[in-house]
Amino acid sequence: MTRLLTALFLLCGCANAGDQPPSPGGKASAKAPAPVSAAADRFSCRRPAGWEAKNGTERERAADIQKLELLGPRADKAPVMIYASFYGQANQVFAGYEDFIERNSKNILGETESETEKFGPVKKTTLSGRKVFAFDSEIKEYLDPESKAGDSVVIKEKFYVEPVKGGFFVLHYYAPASVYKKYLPVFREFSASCRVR
Amino acid sequence: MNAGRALRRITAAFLAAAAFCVQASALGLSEADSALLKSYETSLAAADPAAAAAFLGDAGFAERLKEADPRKAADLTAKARGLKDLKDLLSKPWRDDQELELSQALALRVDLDTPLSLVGVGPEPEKVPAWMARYGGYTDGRTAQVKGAIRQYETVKSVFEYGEAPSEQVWARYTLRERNGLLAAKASGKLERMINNETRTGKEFQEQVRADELFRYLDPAGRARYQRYLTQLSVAETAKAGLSPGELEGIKDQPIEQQMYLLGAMFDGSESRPRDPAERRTERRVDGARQSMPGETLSYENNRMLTEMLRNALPGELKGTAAGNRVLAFYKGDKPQLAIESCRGCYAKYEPSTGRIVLDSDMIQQYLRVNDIRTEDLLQSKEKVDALAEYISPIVVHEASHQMQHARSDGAGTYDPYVQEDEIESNSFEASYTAEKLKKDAHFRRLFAGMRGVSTYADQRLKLAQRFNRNPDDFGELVRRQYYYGLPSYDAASSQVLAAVSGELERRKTLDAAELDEIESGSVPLQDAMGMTAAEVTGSVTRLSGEALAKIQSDLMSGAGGEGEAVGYEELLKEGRSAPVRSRVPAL
Repeated sequence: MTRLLTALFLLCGCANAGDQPPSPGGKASAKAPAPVSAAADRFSCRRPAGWEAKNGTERERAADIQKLELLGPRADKAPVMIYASFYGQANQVFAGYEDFIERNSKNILGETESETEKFGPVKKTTLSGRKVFAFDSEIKEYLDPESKAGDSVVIKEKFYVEPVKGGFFVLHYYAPASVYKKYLPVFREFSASCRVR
Repeated sequence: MNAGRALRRITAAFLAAAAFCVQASALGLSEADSALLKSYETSLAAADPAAAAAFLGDAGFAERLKEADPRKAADLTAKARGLKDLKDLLSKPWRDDQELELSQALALRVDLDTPLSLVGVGPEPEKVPAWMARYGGYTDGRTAQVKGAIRQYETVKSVFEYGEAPSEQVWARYTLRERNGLLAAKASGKLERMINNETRTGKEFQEQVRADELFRYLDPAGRARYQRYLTQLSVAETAKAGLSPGELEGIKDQPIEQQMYLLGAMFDGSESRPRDPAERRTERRVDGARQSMPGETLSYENNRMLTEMLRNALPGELKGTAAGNRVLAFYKGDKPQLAIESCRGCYAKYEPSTGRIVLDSDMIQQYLRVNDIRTEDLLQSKEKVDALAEYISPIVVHEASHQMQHARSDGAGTYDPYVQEDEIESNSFEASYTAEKLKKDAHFRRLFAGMRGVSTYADQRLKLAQRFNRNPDDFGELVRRQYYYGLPSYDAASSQVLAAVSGELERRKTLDAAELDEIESGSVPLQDAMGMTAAEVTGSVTRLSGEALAKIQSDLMSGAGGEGEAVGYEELLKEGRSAPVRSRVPAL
């Protein structure tokens, strides 16, 4: 009798008794990261596992630029980044692949070397069987351009530039010198996976 | 079973069920939702990050709760967002050399009256590692990093001299912001004593200064002074290597500023004899690193005269460049209000309260020293003033861009927090200006090429312009990820502020008139609140006036602000496009 009364009271006025609320803190369904192939109209590349990927904006696409940005771990207060970019003929940023190479293989005073910078020569090479221009740089960059403290980090970069139909394709690796070699294999593998359409 | 006991059990069950049903009907929530609400309230009060993630992911429940009880919805949302934000922060791959960044990020979140403090993770900083231990998943290394970043007693007590360390109990009561302030003051004091008393400049001493743990805690102004001290030690040591024993004897027992002064005087005194490029380079470095001598400083009257002369000279420098023309159009024929004062760690800043662009006096005096210009000669020469105007013009363009941002949000009357997008715009303005001037103006180019080896200011201007010129399209991301990584984006700032402000507005609905009057009587008024950063608003939300809270909430919910990046940057991109380059690169 006691049990019956207790059961009746507990059941009174409580609708949806059959609903089982999800327990808060229960694990959301975890999805294993699937191998991702990041694609744009003009190129596709395989994204390295564990790297955050960001596609270019609609504004860039409208400006005839297609971009994939990969963000790796930080080191020495600076990011490690890899870019794959296609610049179409209508883009307003670079006049062509020669303009890109000219602006990225020298400092702003037109030098290939200074006390705080070094730009390697532009070389013709191949990447996955395709002809490309390759060059690199090593520059002391400031962490805060407005601060008198002048804290800095040495950044090393590597570029592959490929003239293609309708524009040019760029692969760009940006890393603090202390971890440049560590993530260079990631950049090489990523670069080798890229296909330009 | 004892009849009395059974009756008590039945009664207890009845009352529990009745309370359950009453709550459900009062809130308009179903039984399931009511049970879920109770679970969330309990879990979030215990600062459970998994519960926070589940709550934030349960959009349907949040909507139903918002309809049924907006106050509770706002309260739980703010708490859940705070916990998710902390979990995300501690999940980032922090390196050991990023302790200061991590400390600053935690100081913003774990402070008085922040959402995290409301769920028991703060304001005492030790509650953070306790939370990490409770909810697990963190490595020993990460926990050790956080203990360092929160300035836990064990990690900092060694920097105090014998007898001057506060007790552990006293230290435990300080917020992280207070701890960082105390340590910065202590580090700054030690640096000043070293500068004023220490006579050593050798490599071993330089290493000792670099390795001193206490200097890790310097604030930005202290850090600038510290870097300058290291530069002075290095320059002095190099310069002294070329002195005769007699000359060296007169210098070696002096503190660093006096050594630099005497070295500068020695170079000035030997101007008649020929010097090789290396010696000339050393002289410029000495001049760049030492303090100004009498005749090189700016008296009050000279300061006023020079300020006015620079105001008149600047339009001529800015005209003819895309960014410079934009700045001139903003001033509509008028000239920027300038002031020359100590900027403490920066080269220039825009002061919204006065409408002035403040130029750092140290930066200008360094320029005069390195270029062997005495103040009296400067003020009598239009050519020399024009050259100085040319030198400062990049940073003036940068700060004028900030002035334009303030004018935009003041004109619209909207709350517009200081965010990464502001710096993307201002740095794009400055870099575009500098890049264009370097191409068009040979004198400008020679000036900066000559100053870059002795002036960090000059080198920074060149490097910034170079980064922009290499790829204007990628420049914004670099500003976010490298130069201004610690500054929030507009989305992050508005989300955090909106959560805090909305939560506080809902909380005040539960207060009586007397309590509200008490808050309003000492509150931060609307005008002052509109100028606060996101961190300042979230950190002091309980002290803002009701009018300020409502205005900020309305502005952020309407999506006002955050437009600067598109307005300034896009058009500069078009205007700054380089002309087609004749190919100097051979075909493939």
